[in-house]
Amino acid sequence: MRTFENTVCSFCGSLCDDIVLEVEDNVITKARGGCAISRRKFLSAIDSEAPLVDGKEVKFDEAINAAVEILAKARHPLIYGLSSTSSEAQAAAVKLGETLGASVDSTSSVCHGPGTVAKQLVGLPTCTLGEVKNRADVVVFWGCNPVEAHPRHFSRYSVQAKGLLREQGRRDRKVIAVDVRRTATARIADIFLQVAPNEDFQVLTALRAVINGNELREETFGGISPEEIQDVCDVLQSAEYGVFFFGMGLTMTQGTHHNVRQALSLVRDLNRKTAFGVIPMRGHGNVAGTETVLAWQTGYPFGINFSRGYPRYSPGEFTVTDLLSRREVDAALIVASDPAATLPARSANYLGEIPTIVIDPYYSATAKLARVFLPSAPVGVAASGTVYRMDQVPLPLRKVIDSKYPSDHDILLAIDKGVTACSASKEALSMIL
Amino acid sequence: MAFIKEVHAILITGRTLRQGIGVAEGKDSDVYREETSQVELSAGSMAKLGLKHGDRVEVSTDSGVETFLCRPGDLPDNVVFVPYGPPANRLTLNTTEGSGMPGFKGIPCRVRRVIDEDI
Amino acid sequence: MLCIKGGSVYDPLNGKAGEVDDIYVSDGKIASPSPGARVLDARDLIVMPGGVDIHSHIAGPKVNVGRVLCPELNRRDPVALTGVTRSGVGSVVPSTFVTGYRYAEMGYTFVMEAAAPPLEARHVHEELADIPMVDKGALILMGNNHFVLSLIRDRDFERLKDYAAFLIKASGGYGIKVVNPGGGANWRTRGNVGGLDDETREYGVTPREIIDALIEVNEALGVPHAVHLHCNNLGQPTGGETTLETMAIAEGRRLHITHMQFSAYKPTKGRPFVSSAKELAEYVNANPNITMDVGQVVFGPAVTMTADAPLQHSLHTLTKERWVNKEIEMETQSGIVPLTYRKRSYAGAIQWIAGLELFLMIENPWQISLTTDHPNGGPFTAYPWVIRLLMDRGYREEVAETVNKRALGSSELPELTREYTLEEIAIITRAGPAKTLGLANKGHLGIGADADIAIYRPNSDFEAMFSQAAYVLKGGEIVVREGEVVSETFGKTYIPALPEQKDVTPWLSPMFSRLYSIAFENYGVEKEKYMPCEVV
Repeated sequence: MRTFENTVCSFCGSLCDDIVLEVEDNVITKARGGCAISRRKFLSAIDSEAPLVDGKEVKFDEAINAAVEILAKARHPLIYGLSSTSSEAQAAAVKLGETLGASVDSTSSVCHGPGTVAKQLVGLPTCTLGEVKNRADVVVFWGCNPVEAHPRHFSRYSVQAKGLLREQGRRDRKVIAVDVRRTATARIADIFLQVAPNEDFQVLTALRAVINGNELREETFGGISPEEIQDVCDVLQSAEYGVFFFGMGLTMTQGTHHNVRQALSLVRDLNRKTAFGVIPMRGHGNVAGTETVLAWQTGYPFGINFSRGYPRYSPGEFTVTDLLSRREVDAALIVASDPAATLPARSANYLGEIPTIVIDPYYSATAKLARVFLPSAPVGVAASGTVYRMDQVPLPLRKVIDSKYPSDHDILLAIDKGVTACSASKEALSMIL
Repeated sequence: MAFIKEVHAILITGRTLRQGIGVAEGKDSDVYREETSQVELSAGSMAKLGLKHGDRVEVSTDSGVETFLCRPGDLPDNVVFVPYGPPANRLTLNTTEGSGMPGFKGIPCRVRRVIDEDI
Repeated sequence: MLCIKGGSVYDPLNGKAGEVDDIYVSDGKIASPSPGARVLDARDLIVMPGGVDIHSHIAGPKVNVGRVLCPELNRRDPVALTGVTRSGVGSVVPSTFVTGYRYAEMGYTFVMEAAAPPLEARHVHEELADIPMVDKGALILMGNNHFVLSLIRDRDFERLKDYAAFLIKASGGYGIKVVNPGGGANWRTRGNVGGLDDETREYGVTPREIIDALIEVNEALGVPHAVHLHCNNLGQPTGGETTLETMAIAEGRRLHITHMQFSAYKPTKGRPFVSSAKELAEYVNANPNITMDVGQVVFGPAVTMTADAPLQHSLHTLTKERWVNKEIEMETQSGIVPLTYRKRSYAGAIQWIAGLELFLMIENPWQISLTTDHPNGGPFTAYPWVIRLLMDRGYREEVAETVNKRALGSSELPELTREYTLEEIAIITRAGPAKTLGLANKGHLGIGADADIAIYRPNSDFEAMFSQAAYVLKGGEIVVREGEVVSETFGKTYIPALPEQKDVTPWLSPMFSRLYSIAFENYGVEKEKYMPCEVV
């Protein structure tokens, strides 16, 4: 038996790095220290289905060839997903996208993409999670529910966590939750603002108005009374070090990036009075990495198209939901994500109408629609690499067991090589003819 | 006893712990299937529609119609909640209004009880 | 074996100032003459060592946020893939691949990333690994680090030495970077320090003590490069005075003042500030222990990014531009604000003038390196323009005529008649920075040096001449022809050979787990992340 300490769990954007794994005969037998989701993730990490083409089991190379053939033939392929794999694999996907002249998008476009668009409008005062643990005395959770989505966030970083200036943990902090629902997170908060659906923007605007010294003249703002707004402002302004976490409750509701823009502006305004940071509560393990890697390689964070040989960036145009809804792509390569289980069905169903290739450690819902399924070694279990936490802190993933399948990274490079060879031979052929 | 046949509400989809466990375990798992086929309604809405925990309800939006098992949730009367998953996806909106973000939350919907004869 | 035949060789370290000579290359190094070598005809061409950039923000978390922040800049300069090179964007903060290509096209073969936070050093190395064509290294931020300040407060210099060496090693870094020491620590409570004797709120130590201690540690460890210091009060009218006092702290020990232009201002009656380049240049001229780089301002768009977070907040307050701020637990902070330098604005003109005054008033070119503090003063792709300003007095006066008149009137620039020679340019863009960084095999063409060579076609328009090298050799291979990358290559990461220090784990590890949000075991960057590397 081998024991691996300080292993990173890459399920969610919290990237807890204190998991202890026990491995016996190439099987993870125990996963200690993590949350219920993490335990399940590590203990379910076994080799999945064989490679498939049109539902038939094939040798790995045959599946690669089938993928190459589909992509080489496509006029406008889409590469999508990437949030549950390593930064190395993300880089390989960009390279392939460039070779193909493809659109490349990550799950960011359907989670925190609007937050990034908002950042491009106003900037982002932020901090790492250790700073939250050490300093934050006021913590806001807006439209996010870490108790269920990031189960150890409170204890490691944001609520019960004990740090340099917050030795008492929970007792040293005021917690404000804002949500449409009284979530598990809202129930532990000191202050809960129950905002009317789709009216976060109004509440944020009212808060900014008060912080900037204006008077509130309406009777209610998105279901919140002026008195409640005032009380929250008092708490925000009295913070020594405040941190504002926001989730899909802001990015997915009506207004999308406008909501986040208002939130970022609120935090920026607060910095005239005190120290305040804002952190997007990132969902998937390495979704932060998708934006990071795509940006350093192309200049842009998501929603990219290479059809002109150089990267173009256009959310709403080169983003997955739009490309599929408008039926603009004629082939798709889905890497380490499951759009058939996550996108609106009207978009996702189109993946079943075009040749779709799935690279995933698990036989996903999307794999069921796909022409080609390429099983891969699960990253952070049977493949190493780098992942980026929700606050952009990079962490190393370790390989603790062997898989009979290659990593996402290696599969993507193999496809890229195949496509390059394919187009080279096509060129040679056209020269002869 | 007369119940209201249908209520208009706002649909929110989102993550739950059991849904997360289901994703980690595999989307063929029972926990995933069970969790993603539930809808949460406020106690008030359930009473209005004459529903008890586990009854079948139909939720419809501009995108489609889907049947769920209902459970009580700590929600305002005008909000219903469905965990992320394939059933929710049949209700979410695929228009992004130029933002790239589809309609996952804050979607107008109608909720009605599924009468046995409908089955 | 290759012979670069008949070029005018500018190799200041080896005393060559334009004499016609043959340079032999073998196994990636400069070799002694030997018969039978393949010939690269360099007649009528100018041969120099590859360019060395001593200070440029090219990789890592804040650089990347700068890229994301400004799609409107990126869209101005799309770069398509070729059969040889990858695609990306150029503009002000180029993507990684394009960063490498653009440096190479100008004949640069080494770039030092100017500011890496240890907690995110892994990110810095991932980006550096994606920058082709050049060798590289990274300076490690220490001036506001919790443990550095605590150890200085406790006067525990032995441990401070161990810890500084640990940080360089764990981060895969090259040297010690200090930015607004103490000011960053106070920024955690939205304060700053106003001078060298202001105390930091949580540690009680002063900038003076931090600078002095880190110079001491740097010299004791024998780090190849001096402490690389971004002074307190940078960008303020008080910056010049503070910088003079700061240089005095060194007392003869090595000290590198970076982007001095941003510190070369003084207060005056009736105007926001004027240039204090003259006083600073006089000090540098009298003190050979000081080296500096300029941080020349270039008119047009820039993206300012620095660990000097309080400075960035005031810049944002002034311009109302987008503001990014980040606090990195226990270590440092940063701020990013896009900024356009305008000729007609008083401030922009003073900054442009102050940089040129430093260039023209500092006498010994070995003490001064050409930088724009990319992308703070403007992009590194403007270096050829700066060279033209230095070499061509007529052109300089032409440009000066177009800048803010009040600013020009307040300065001595119109009286400065100096024109840089090609030899001096070779010093401030390669030989000098290589020497200052302690890179023995860079910046010259002596036998055994790295065969990183830039060959230029003479042109009276020096901007055109230095924009596109006729040939660039990296490790002895031709990688650029006529300003175009013809072969993609990836360089090495440079790290210093430091003397073995006491293991910091026993005292650091327990505190680390309490204060950081990651495990101590996951902190350091393993060497594989920055292979191949060169130890100097």
